[in-house]
Amino acid sequence: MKPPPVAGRGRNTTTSRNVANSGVAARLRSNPWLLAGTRLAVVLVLLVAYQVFSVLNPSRQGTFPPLQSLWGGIVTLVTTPTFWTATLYTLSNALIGLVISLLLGGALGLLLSIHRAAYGSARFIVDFMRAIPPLGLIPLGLLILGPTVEMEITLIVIAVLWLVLVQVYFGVMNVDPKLLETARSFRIPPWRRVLFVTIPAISPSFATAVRLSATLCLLLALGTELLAGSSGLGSLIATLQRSNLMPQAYAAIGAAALLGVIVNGVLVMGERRLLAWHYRTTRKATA
Amino acid sequence: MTAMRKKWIRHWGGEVLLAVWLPVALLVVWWVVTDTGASVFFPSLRSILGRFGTVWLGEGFTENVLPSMANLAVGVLCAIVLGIVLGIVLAVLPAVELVIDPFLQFLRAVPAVALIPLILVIAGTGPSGKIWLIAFGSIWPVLLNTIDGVKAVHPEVRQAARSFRVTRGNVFWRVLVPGAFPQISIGIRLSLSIALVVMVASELYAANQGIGYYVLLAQQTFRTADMWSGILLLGVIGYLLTVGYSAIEARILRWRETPAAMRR
Repeated sequence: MKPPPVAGRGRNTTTSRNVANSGVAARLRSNPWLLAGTRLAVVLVLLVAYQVFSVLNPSRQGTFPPLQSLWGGIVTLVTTPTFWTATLYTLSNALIGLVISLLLGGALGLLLSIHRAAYGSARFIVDFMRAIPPLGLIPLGLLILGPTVEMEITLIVIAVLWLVLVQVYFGVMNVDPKLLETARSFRIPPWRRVLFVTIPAISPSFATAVRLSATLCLLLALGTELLAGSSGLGSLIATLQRSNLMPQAYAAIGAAALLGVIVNGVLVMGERRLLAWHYRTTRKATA
Repeated sequence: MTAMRKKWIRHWGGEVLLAVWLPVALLVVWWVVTDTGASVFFPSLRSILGRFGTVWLGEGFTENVLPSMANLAVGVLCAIVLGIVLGIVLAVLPAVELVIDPFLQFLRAVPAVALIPLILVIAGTGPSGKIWLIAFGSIWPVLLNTIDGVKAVHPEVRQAARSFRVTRGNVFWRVLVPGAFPQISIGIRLSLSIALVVMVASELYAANQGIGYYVLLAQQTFRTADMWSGILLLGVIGYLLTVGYSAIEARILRWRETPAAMRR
Protein backbone atom coordinates (compact mmCIF):
# COMPACT_ATOMS: atom_id res chain seq x y z
CA MET A 1 0.00 0.00 0.00
CA LYS A 2 1.13 3.48 -0.78
CA PRO A 3 1.16 6.01 2.04
CA PRO A 4 -1.38 8.83 1.78
CA PRO A 5 0.01 11.18 -0.87
CA VAL A 6 -0.36 14.41 1.08
CA ALA A 7 1.55 13.29 4.13
CA GLY A 8 4.20 11.62 1.98
CA ARG A 9 4.80 14.71 -0.10
CA GLY A 10 4.95 16.92 2.93
CA ARG A 11 7.52 14.75 4.64
CA ASN A 12 9.62 14.38 1.52
CA THR A 13 9.82 18.10 0.81
CA THR A 14 10.75 18.95 4.38
CA THR A 15 13.47 16.32 4.60
CA SER A 16 14.90 17.17 1.21
CA ARG A 17 14.92 20.86 2.12
CA ASN A 18 16.59 20.11 5.43
CA VAL A 19 19.22 18.02 3.71
CA ALA A 20 19.86 20.68 1.09
CA ASN A 21 20.09 23.34 3.74
CA SER A 22 22.33 21.52 6.14
CA GLY A 23 24.16 19.89 3.22
CA VAL A 24 25.98 23.10 2.35
CA ALA A 25 26.66 23.82 6.00
CA ALA A 26 27.90 20.28 6.59
CA ARG A 27 30.17 20.42 3.55
CA LEU A 28 31.60 23.76 4.74
CA ARG A 29 32.06 22.43 8.24
CA SER A 30 33.82 19.27 7.13
CA ASN A 31 36.17 21.10 4.77
CA PRO A 32 38.08 23.88 6.55
CA TRP A 33 39.76 24.98 3.29
CA LEU A 34 36.43 25.48 1.58
CA LEU A 35 35.14 27.42 4.59
CA ALA A 36 38.23 29.63 4.74
CA GLY A 37 38.02 30.16 0.98
CA THR A 38 34.37 31.23 1.19
CA ARG A 39 35.16 33.63 4.00
CA LEU A 40 38.09 35.03 2.05
CA ALA A 41 35.82 35.49 -0.95
CA VAL A 42 33.37 37.46 1.19
CA VAL A 43 36.20 39.72 2.37
CA LEU A 44 37.42 40.24 -1.20
CA VAL A 45 33.94 41.09 -2.47
CA LEU A 46 33.49 43.64 0.33
CA LEU A 47 36.90 45.20 -0.34
CA VAL A 48 36.25 45.45 -4.07
CA ALA A 49 32.81 46.97 -3.46
CA TYR A 50 34.35 49.54 -1.10
CA GLN A 51 37.11 50.40 -3.56
CA VAL A 52 34.61 50.86 -6.41
CA PHE A 53 32.46 53.09 -4.19
CA SER A 54 35.47 55.16 -3.17
CA VAL A 55 36.81 55.57 -6.71
CA LEU A 56 33.39 56.49 -8.09
CA ASN A 57 32.87 59.19 -5.41
CA PRO A 58 36.04 61.29 -5.54
CA SER A 59 34.28 64.10 -3.62
CA ARG A 60 33.76 61.79 -0.62
CA GLN A 61 37.28 60.35 -0.58
CA GLY A 62 38.03 62.41 2.53
CA THR A 63 35.54 60.23 4.41
CA PHE A 64 35.93 57.04 2.40
CA PRO A 65 39.57 57.01 1.27
CA PRO A 66 40.52 54.44 -1.39
CA LEU A 67 42.26 51.27 -0.26
CA GLN A 68 45.76 52.39 -1.26
CA SER A 69 45.62 55.45 1.02
CA LEU A 70 44.07 53.38 3.82
CA TRP A 71 46.99 50.97 3.47
CA GLY A 72 49.33 53.95 3.60
CA GLY A 73 47.63 55.06 6.83
CA ILE A 74 48.09 51.62 8.36
CA VAL A 75 51.79 51.54 7.43
CA THR A 76 52.41 55.05 8.78
CA LEU A 77 50.60 54.23 12.00
CA VAL A 78 52.37 50.97 12.82
CA THR A 79 55.76 52.51 12.10
CA THR A 80 55.24 55.41 14.51
CA PRO A 81 56.39 54.64 18.07
CA THR A 82 53.61 56.89 19.48
CA PHE A 83 51.06 54.33 18.36
CA TRP A 84 52.73 51.53 20.27
CA THR A 85 53.19 53.54 23.46
CA ALA A 86 49.56 54.68 23.23
CA THR A 87 48.39 51.08 22.84
CA LEU A 88 50.55 50.05 25.78
CA TYR A 89 49.03 52.83 27.92
CA THR A 90 45.51 51.74 27.05
CA LEU A 91 46.22 48.10 27.78
CA SER A 92 48.02 48.74 31.06
CA ASN A 93 45.32 51.14 32.30
CA ALA A 94 42.61 48.64 31.43
CA LEU A 95 44.58 45.86 33.13
CA ILE A 96 45.22 47.86 36.33
CA GLY A 97 41.56 48.83 36.44
CA LEU A 98 40.56 45.19 35.91
CA VAL A 99 42.78 43.87 38.70
CA ILE A 100 41.58 46.47 41.21
CA SER A 101 37.93 45.88 40.27
CA LEU A 102 38.31 42.11 40.57
CA LEU A 103 39.93 42.35 44.01
CA LEU A 104 37.55 44.98 45.36
CA GLY A 105 34.41 43.57 43.76
CA GLY A 106 35.30 40.01 44.70
CA ALA A 107 35.94 40.97 48.34
CA LEU A 108 32.70 42.99 48.55
CA GLY A 109 30.72 40.19 46.90
CA LEU A 110 32.05 37.64 49.42
CA LEU A 111 31.31 40.08 52.25
CA LEU A 112 27.71 40.63 51.15
CA SER A 113 27.14 36.88 50.86
CA ILE A 114 27.81 36.35 54.57
CA HIS A 115 24.29 37.30 55.61
CA ARG A 116 21.01 37.68 53.76
CA ALA A 117 20.45 41.08 55.36
CA ALA A 118 23.77 42.42 54.04
CA TYR A 119 22.83 42.01 50.39
CA GLY A 120 19.25 43.05 51.06
CA SER A 121 20.46 46.36 52.47
CA ALA A 122 23.03 47.04 49.77
CA ARG A 123 20.88 45.89 46.87
CA PHE A 124 19.38 49.22 45.89
CA ILE A 125 22.75 50.96 45.99
CA VAL A 126 24.40 48.23 43.91
CA ASP A 127 21.59 48.32 41.35
CA PHE A 128 21.63 52.10 41.15
CA MET A 129 25.40 52.34 40.79
CA ARG A 130 25.31 49.66 38.11
CA ALA A 131 22.67 51.62 36.23
CA ILE A 132 24.71 54.83 35.92
CA PRO A 133 26.25 54.84 32.41
CA PRO A 134 29.96 54.83 33.34
CA LEU A 135 31.15 57.27 30.68
CA GLY A 136 28.61 59.75 32.05
CA LEU A 137 30.92 60.10 35.05
CA ILE A 138 33.66 61.58 32.84
CA PRO A 139 32.74 65.20 33.64
CA LEU A 140 32.91 64.42 37.35
CA GLY A 141 36.27 62.70 36.91
CA LEU A 142 37.59 65.61 34.87
CA LEU A 143 36.46 68.05 37.55
CA ILE A 144 38.09 66.26 40.46
CA LEU A 145 41.13 64.52 38.95
CA GLY A 146 41.60 66.09 35.50
CA PRO A 147 42.53 64.14 32.35
CA THR A 148 44.97 61.82 34.12
CA VAL A 149 45.76 58.13 34.38
CA GLU A 150 44.35 58.14 37.93
CA MET A 151 41.06 59.47 36.62
CA GLU A 152 40.87 56.82 33.92
CA ILE A 153 41.57 53.96 36.32
CA THR A 154 39.18 55.34 38.97
CA LEU A 155 36.42 55.58 36.39
CA ILE A 156 37.05 52.00 35.22
CA VAL A 157 36.98 50.67 38.78
CA ILE A 158 33.80 52.56 39.72
CA ALA A 159 32.07 51.13 36.66
CA VAL A 160 33.34 47.54 36.67
CA LEU A 161 33.34 46.86 40.42
CA TRP A 162 29.57 46.24 40.58
CA LEU A 163 29.57 43.69 37.81
CA VAL A 164 32.20 41.62 39.63
CA LEU A 165 30.39 42.05 42.94
CA VAL A 166 27.10 40.75 41.55
CA GLN A 167 28.73 37.80 39.76
CA VAL A 168 30.65 36.73 42.88
CA TYR A 169 27.62 37.20 45.14
CA PHE A 170 25.34 35.08 42.96
CA GLY A 171 28.16 32.58 42.47
CA VAL A 172 28.34 32.07 46.24
CA MET A 173 24.55 31.90 46.52
CA ASN A 174 24.45 29.18 43.87
CA VAL A 175 27.05 26.91 45.47
CA ASP A 176 25.44 23.51 45.90
CA PRO A 177 24.52 23.30 49.62
CA LYS A 178 25.34 19.59 49.55
CA LEU A 179 29.00 20.43 49.02
CA LEU A 180 29.07 22.69 52.06
CA GLU A 181 27.11 20.19 54.15
CA THR A 182 29.51 17.43 53.20
CA ALA A 183 32.47 19.60 54.12
CA ARG A 184 30.81 20.49 57.41
CA SER A 185 30.03 16.91 58.26
CA PHE A 186 33.66 16.01 57.69
CA ARG A 187 34.47 18.78 60.20
CA ILE A 188 36.58 20.65 57.72
CA PRO A 189 37.44 24.00 59.36
CA PRO A 190 35.70 27.11 57.97
CA TRP A 191 38.76 28.67 56.32
CA ARG A 192 39.48 25.44 54.48
CA ARG A 193 35.82 25.23 53.51
CA VAL A 194 36.07 28.65 51.87
CA LEU A 195 39.40 27.83 50.25
CA PHE A 196 38.65 24.34 48.96
CA VAL A 197 34.87 24.32 48.48
CA THR A 198 33.45 27.81 47.99
CA ILE A 199 36.22 29.30 45.88
CA PRO A 200 36.50 26.39 43.40
CA ALA A 201 32.70 26.27 43.22
CA ILE A 202 32.38 29.95 42.33
CA SER A 203 35.33 29.98 39.91
CA PRO A 204 33.17 29.43 36.78
CA SER A 205 31.02 32.43 37.60
CA PHE A 206 34.14 34.40 38.55
CA ALA A 207 35.64 33.51 35.17
CA THR A 208 32.53 34.91 33.50
CA ALA A 209 33.01 38.06 35.56
CA VAL A 210 36.64 38.32 34.42
CA ARG A 211 35.70 37.92 30.76
CA LEU A 212 32.82 40.40 30.85
CA SER A 213 34.68 42.97 32.89
CA ALA A 214 37.89 42.76 30.84
CA THR A 215 35.96 43.72 27.70
CA LEU A 216 34.24 46.49 29.63
CA CYS A 217 37.57 47.74 31.04
CA LEU A 218 39.02 48.04 27.56
CA LEU A 219 35.93 49.84 26.29
CA LEU A 220 36.03 52.27 29.21
CA ALA A 221 39.77 52.88 28.85
CA LEU A 222 39.34 53.71 25.16
CA GLY A 223 36.22 55.78 25.86
CA THR A 224 37.80 57.80 28.64
CA GLU A 225 40.85 58.51 26.51
CA LEU A 226 38.75 59.52 23.54
CA LEU A 227 36.30 61.68 25.46
CA ALA A 228 38.41 63.03 28.32
CA GLY A 229 41.81 63.07 26.65
CA SER A 230 43.89 60.97 29.06
CA SER A 231 46.75 59.55 27.01
CA GLY A 232 46.29 56.28 25.15
CA LEU A 233 44.93 54.82 21.94
CA GLY A 234 41.59 56.62 22.41
CA SER A 235 43.12 60.07 22.56
CA LEU A 236 45.38 59.17 19.61
CA ILE A 237 42.24 58.47 17.56
CA ALA A 238 40.79 61.83 18.60
CA THR A 239 44.00 63.67 17.73
CA LEU A 240 44.30 62.01 14.31
CA GLN A 241 40.66 62.75 13.50
CA ARG A 242 40.94 66.39 14.59
CA SER A 243 44.05 66.88 12.45
CA ASN A 244 42.05 65.35 9.59
CA LEU A 245 44.46 62.44 9.01
CA MET A 246 41.56 60.15 8.21
CA PRO A 247 43.42 57.06 6.86
CA GLN A 248 45.56 56.98 10.00
CA ALA A 249 42.53 57.62 12.21
CA TYR A 250 40.73 54.70 10.57
CA ALA A 251 43.79 52.53 11.06
CA ALA A 252 43.85 53.47 14.75
CA ILE A 253 40.13 52.69 15.09
CA GLY A 254 40.81 49.35 13.43
CA ALA A 255 43.62 48.73 15.90
CA ALA A 256 41.24 49.46 18.79
CA ALA A 257 38.76 46.99 17.32
CA LEU A 258 41.50 44.39 16.89
CA LEU A 259 42.55 44.92 20.50
CA GLY A 260 38.99 44.15 21.57
CA VAL A 261 38.94 40.98 19.49
CA ILE A 262 42.32 39.80 20.79
CA VAL A 263 41.48 40.45 24.46
CA ASN A 264 38.19 38.59 24.07
CA GLY A 265 39.84 35.68 22.27
CA VAL A 266 42.61 35.31 24.83
CA LEU A 267 40.11 35.33 27.70
CA VAL A 268 37.79 32.78 26.12
CA MET A 269 40.76 30.50 25.49
CA GLY A 270 42.12 30.96 29.01
CA GLU A 271 38.71 30.28 30.51
CA ARG A 272 38.36 27.06 28.52
CA ARG A 273 41.76 25.87 29.59
CA LEU A 274 41.60 26.80 33.27
CA LEU A 275 38.05 25.56 33.71
CA ALA A 276 38.37 22.41 31.62
CA TRP A 277 37.52 20.39 34.72
CA HIS A 278 34.27 22.30 35.11
CA TYR A 279 33.16 21.84 31.52
CA ARG A 280 34.07 18.15 31.72
CA THR A 281 32.02 17.52 34.84
CA THR A 282 29.02 19.55 33.66
CA ARG A 283 29.02 17.81 30.28
CA LYS A 284 29.09 14.45 32.02
CA ALA A 285 26.21 15.54 34.21
CA THR A 286 24.03 16.56 31.27
CA ALA A 287 24.93 13.61 29.06
CA MET B 1 -7.36 35.36 56.15
CA THR B 2 -6.56 38.43 58.20
CA ALA B 3 -3.79 36.59 59.95
CA MET B 4 -2.29 35.72 56.60
CA ARG B 5 -2.56 39.28 55.49
CA LYS B 6 -0.87 40.50 58.65
CA LYS B 7 1.93 38.01 58.14
CA TRP B 8 2.23 39.14 54.54
CA ILE B 9 2.47 42.78 55.58
CA ARG B 10 5.00 41.99 58.28
CA HIS B 11 7.09 39.96 55.84
CA TRP B 12 7.04 42.48 53.02
CA GLY B 13 7.26 45.39 55.44
CA GLY B 14 10.49 43.84 56.69
CA GLU B 15 11.78 43.36 53.14
CA VAL B 16 11.04 46.98 52.22
CA LEU B 17 12.59 48.28 55.41
CA LEU B 18 15.71 46.18 54.78
CA ALA B 19 16.01 47.43 51.21
CA VAL B 20 15.47 51.07 52.11
CA TRP B 21 17.33 51.81 55.32
CA LEU B 22 20.86 51.99 53.90
CA PRO B 23 20.09 54.21 50.87
CA VAL B 24 18.08 56.56 53.10
CA ALA B 25 20.86 56.65 55.69
CA LEU B 26 23.44 57.45 53.00
CA LEU B 27 21.28 60.21 51.56
CA VAL B 28 20.85 61.72 55.03
CA VAL B 29 24.61 61.59 55.63
CA TRP B 30 25.25 63.15 52.20
CA TRP B 31 22.70 65.87 52.92
CA VAL B 32 24.06 66.72 56.39
CA VAL B 33 27.76 66.59 55.49
CA THR B 34 27.50 68.72 52.35
CA ASP B 35 24.97 71.12 53.88
CA THR B 36 27.41 72.17 56.58
CA GLY B 37 30.67 72.05 54.65
CA ALA B 38 29.95 72.27 50.93
CA SER B 39 32.92 72.70 48.56
CA VAL B 40 33.12 73.61 44.91
CA PHE B 41 33.54 69.97 43.93
CA PHE B 42 30.88 68.64 46.28
CA PRO B 43 27.98 71.09 46.41
CA SER B 44 25.22 70.52 48.95
CA LEU B 45 22.62 67.90 48.14
CA ARG B 46 19.99 70.60 48.75
CA SER B 47 21.32 72.69 45.87
CA ILE B 48 21.77 69.61 43.62
CA LEU B 49 18.15 68.60 44.09
CA GLY B 50 17.04 72.22 43.65
CA ARG B 51 18.93 72.51 40.37
CA PHE B 52 17.57 69.11 39.29
CA GLY B 53 14.07 70.56 39.18
CA THR B 54 15.00 73.70 37.26
CA VAL B 55 17.55 72.17 34.90
CA TRP B 56 15.92 68.90 33.90
CA LEU B 57 12.19 69.15 34.51
CA GLY B 58 11.42 72.56 33.06
CA GLU B 59 12.78 73.96 29.82
CA GLY B 60 15.75 71.62 29.87
CA PHE B 61 13.43 68.66 29.48
CA THR B 62 12.54 69.49 25.90
CA GLU B 63 15.95 70.95 25.17
CA ASN B 64 18.26 68.23 26.46
CA VAL B 65 16.38 65.26 27.90
CA LEU B 66 13.95 64.64 25.05
CA PRO B 67 16.53 64.58 22.21
CA SER B 68 18.69 62.14 24.17
CA MET B 69 15.79 59.87 24.97
CA ALA B 70 14.55 59.98 21.38
CA ASN B 71 17.97 58.93 20.04
CA LEU B 72 18.14 56.18 22.61
CA ALA B 73 14.64 54.89 21.86
CA VAL B 74 15.02 54.90 18.07
CA GLY B 75 18.51 53.39 18.20
CA VAL B 76 17.53 50.61 20.59
CA LEU B 77 14.33 49.79 18.71
CA CYS B 78 16.27 49.53 15.43
CA ALA B 79 18.81 47.27 17.15
CA ILE B 80 16.14 45.02 18.65
CA VAL B 81 14.04 44.64 15.49
CA LEU B 82 17.04 44.21 13.17
CA GLY B 83 18.78 41.93 15.64
CA ILE B 84 15.80 39.61 15.99
CA VAL B 85 15.00 39.48 12.25
CA LEU B 86 18.63 38.99 11.18
CA GLY B 87 19.20 36.53 14.00
CA ILE B 88 16.31 34.33 12.92
CA VAL B 89 17.32 34.49 9.26
CA LEU B 90 20.87 33.46 10.15
CA ALA B 91 19.66 30.72 12.48
CA VAL B 92 17.57 29.07 9.76
CA LEU B 93 20.38 29.43 7.17
CA PRO B 94 23.24 27.57 8.89
CA ALA B 95 25.57 27.79 5.88
CA VAL B 96 25.40 31.59 5.79
CA GLU B 97 25.79 31.79 9.54
CA LEU B 98 28.85 29.57 9.41
CA VAL B 99 30.52 31.74 6.78
CA ILE B 100 29.87 35.13 8.38
CA ASP B 101 30.30 34.09 12.04
CA PRO B 102 33.90 35.42 12.33
CA PHE B 103 32.78 38.77 10.90
CA LEU B 104 29.98 38.98 13.47
CA GLN B 105 32.39 38.10 16.27
CA PHE B 106 34.79 40.77 15.05
CA LEU B 107 32.13 43.46 14.78
CA ARG B 108 30.79 42.57 18.20
CA ALA B 109 34.24 43.00 19.72
CA VAL B 110 34.64 46.46 18.19
CA PRO B 111 34.33 48.99 21.03
CA ALA B 112 31.47 51.17 19.74
CA VAL B 113 32.87 54.20 21.50
CA ALA B 114 35.98 54.11 19.31
CA LEU B 115 33.73 54.63 16.28
CA ILE B 116 32.42 58.00 17.49
CA PRO B 117 34.96 60.03 15.46
CA LEU B 118 34.21 57.91 12.39
CA ILE B 119 30.45 58.42 12.67
CA LEU B 120 31.03 62.12 13.26
CA VAL B 121 32.93 62.40 9.99
CA ILE B 122 30.38 60.36 8.03
CA ALA B 123 27.09 61.60 9.47
CA GLY B 124 27.93 64.89 11.18
CA THR B 125 26.85 66.00 14.66
CA GLY B 126 23.11 65.52 14.07
CA PRO B 127 20.92 62.85 15.64
CA SER B 128 21.17 60.37 12.74
CA GLY B 129 24.82 59.56 13.42
CA LYS B 130 24.12 59.06 17.12
CA ILE B 131 21.19 56.77 16.31
CA TRP B 132 23.36 54.69 13.95
CA LEU B 133 26.02 54.41 16.60
CA ILE B 134 23.56 53.39 19.33
CA ALA B 135 22.02 50.80 17.01
CA PHE B 136 25.46 49.47 15.98
CA GLY B 137 26.68 49.23 19.56
CA SER B 138 23.60 47.51 20.93
CA ILE B 139 22.59 45.12 18.12
CA TRP B 140 25.16 42.39 18.91
CA PRO B 141 23.74 40.98 22.14
CA VAL B 142 20.27 40.77 20.54
CA LEU B 143 21.56 39.26 17.30
CA LEU B 144 23.85 36.64 18.84
CA ASN B 145 21.34 35.66 21.52
CA THR B 146 18.61 35.35 18.89
CA ILE B 147 20.78 33.00 16.80
CA ASP B 148 21.49 30.84 19.85
CA GLY B 149 17.90 31.00 21.07
CA VAL B 150 16.39 29.98 17.73
CA LYS B 151 18.89 27.15 17.32
CA ALA B 152 17.88 25.94 20.77
CA VAL B 153 14.18 25.75 19.84
CA HIS B 154 13.64 22.01 19.81
CA PRO B 155 13.63 20.63 16.23
CA GLU B 156 10.54 18.58 17.09
CA VAL B 157 8.63 21.78 17.76
CA ARG B 158 9.54 23.04 14.30
CA GLN B 159 8.71 19.73 12.69
CA ALA B 160 5.36 19.68 14.48
CA ALA B 161 4.60 23.16 13.14
CA ARG B 162 5.57 21.98 9.67
CA SER B 163 3.44 18.88 9.79
CA PHE B 164 0.49 21.06 10.77
CA ARG B 165 1.30 23.11 7.65
CA VAL B 166 1.78 26.30 9.61
CA THR B 167 2.77 29.02 7.15
CA ARG B 168 6.31 30.36 7.17
CA GLY B 169 5.25 33.72 8.56
CA ASN B 170 3.41 32.05 11.38
CA VAL B 171 6.34 29.76 12.13
CA PHE B 172 8.49 32.89 12.34
CA TRP B 173 6.27 34.94 14.64
CA ARG B 174 4.35 32.26 16.57
CA VAL B 175 6.98 29.53 16.99
CA LEU B 176 10.53 30.80 16.60
CA VAL B 177 10.27 34.24 18.24
CA PRO B 178 8.32 33.09 21.33
CA GLY B 179 10.45 29.96 21.65
CA ALA B 180 13.67 31.93 21.54
CA PHE B 181 12.40 34.91 23.49
CA PRO B 182 13.75 33.98 26.93
CA GLN B 183 17.24 34.02 25.42
CA ILE B 184 16.55 37.04 23.20
CA SER B 185 15.43 38.86 26.32
CA ILE B 186 18.84 38.41 27.94
CA GLY B 187 20.31 40.08 24.86
CA ILE B 188 17.83 42.95 24.98
CA ARG B 189 18.67 43.59 28.62
CA LEU B 190 22.39 43.80 27.79
CA SER B 191 21.80 45.97 24.75
CA LEU B 192 19.77 48.48 26.76
CA SER B 193 22.69 49.21 29.07
CA ILE B 194 25.15 49.36 26.17
CA ALA B 195 22.84 51.75 24.33
CA LEU B 196 22.71 54.10 27.30
CA VAL B 197 26.51 54.18 27.52
CA VAL B 198 26.87 54.81 23.80
CA MET B 199 24.22 57.54 23.94
CA VAL B 200 26.04 59.42 26.69
CA ALA B 201 29.43 58.91 25.03
CA SER B 202 28.16 60.23 21.70
CA GLU B 203 27.01 63.38 23.47
CA LEU B 204 30.38 63.97 25.11
CA TYR B 205 32.30 64.19 21.82
CA ALA B 206 31.61 67.19 19.59
CA ALA B 207 27.88 67.39 20.35
CA ASN B 208 25.58 70.37 20.68
CA GLN B 209 22.67 69.01 22.68
CA GLY B 210 21.66 66.18 24.97
CA ILE B 211 22.15 65.21 28.59
CA GLY B 212 25.82 64.31 28.18
CA TYR B 213 26.53 67.58 26.39
CA TYR B 214 24.84 69.58 29.14
CA VAL B 215 26.67 67.75 31.93
CA LEU B 216 30.04 68.34 30.24
CA LEU B 217 29.21 72.00 29.63
CA ALA B 218 28.19 72.42 33.28
CA GLN B 219 31.52 70.92 34.35
CA GLN B 220 33.52 73.16 32.04
CA THR B 221 31.75 76.26 33.35
CA PHE B 222 32.05 75.12 36.99
CA ARG B 223 28.31 74.85 37.57
CA THR B 224 28.97 71.78 39.69
CA ALA B 225 25.46 71.48 41.15
CA ASP B 226 24.10 71.27 37.59
CA MET B 227 26.72 68.65 36.75
CA TRP B 228 25.88 66.51 39.79
CA SER B 229 22.17 66.79 39.03
CA GLY B 230 22.87 65.55 35.49
CA ILE B 231 24.78 62.52 36.77
CA LEU B 232 21.88 61.84 39.15
CA LEU B 233 19.51 62.02 36.19
CA LEU B 234 21.61 59.52 34.22
CA GLY B 235 21.50 57.15 37.16
CA VAL B 236 17.73 57.53 37.47
CA ILE B 237 17.26 56.90 33.73
CA GLY B 238 19.49 53.84 33.83
CA TYR B 239 17.70 52.47 36.89
CA LEU B 240 14.24 53.06 35.41
CA LEU B 241 15.32 51.37 32.17
CA THR B 242 16.45 48.26 34.05
CA VAL B 243 13.39 48.12 36.29
CA GLY B 244 11.02 48.99 33.45
CA TYR B 245 12.42 46.32 31.19
CA SER B 246 12.20 43.72 33.95
CA ALA B 247 8.49 44.53 34.28
CA ILE B 248 7.93 44.27 30.51
CA GLU B 249 9.91 41.04 30.36
CA ALA B 250 7.95 39.50 33.23
CA ARG B 251 4.72 40.36 31.41
CA ILE B 252 5.83 38.97 28.05
CA LEU B 253 7.18 35.80 29.59
CA ARG B 254 4.15 35.25 31.86
CA TRP B 255 3.40 32.01 30.00
CA ARG B 256 6.60 30.37 31.18
CA GLU B 257 6.60 28.08 34.18
CA THR B 258 9.60 29.73 35.81
CA PRO B 259 9.03 33.48 35.82
CA ALA B 260 11.82 35.46 34.20
CA ALA B 261 12.18 37.56 37.31
CA MET B 262 13.57 34.53 39.10
CA ARG B 263 16.40 34.10 36.63
CA ARG B 264 19.48 36.19 36.49
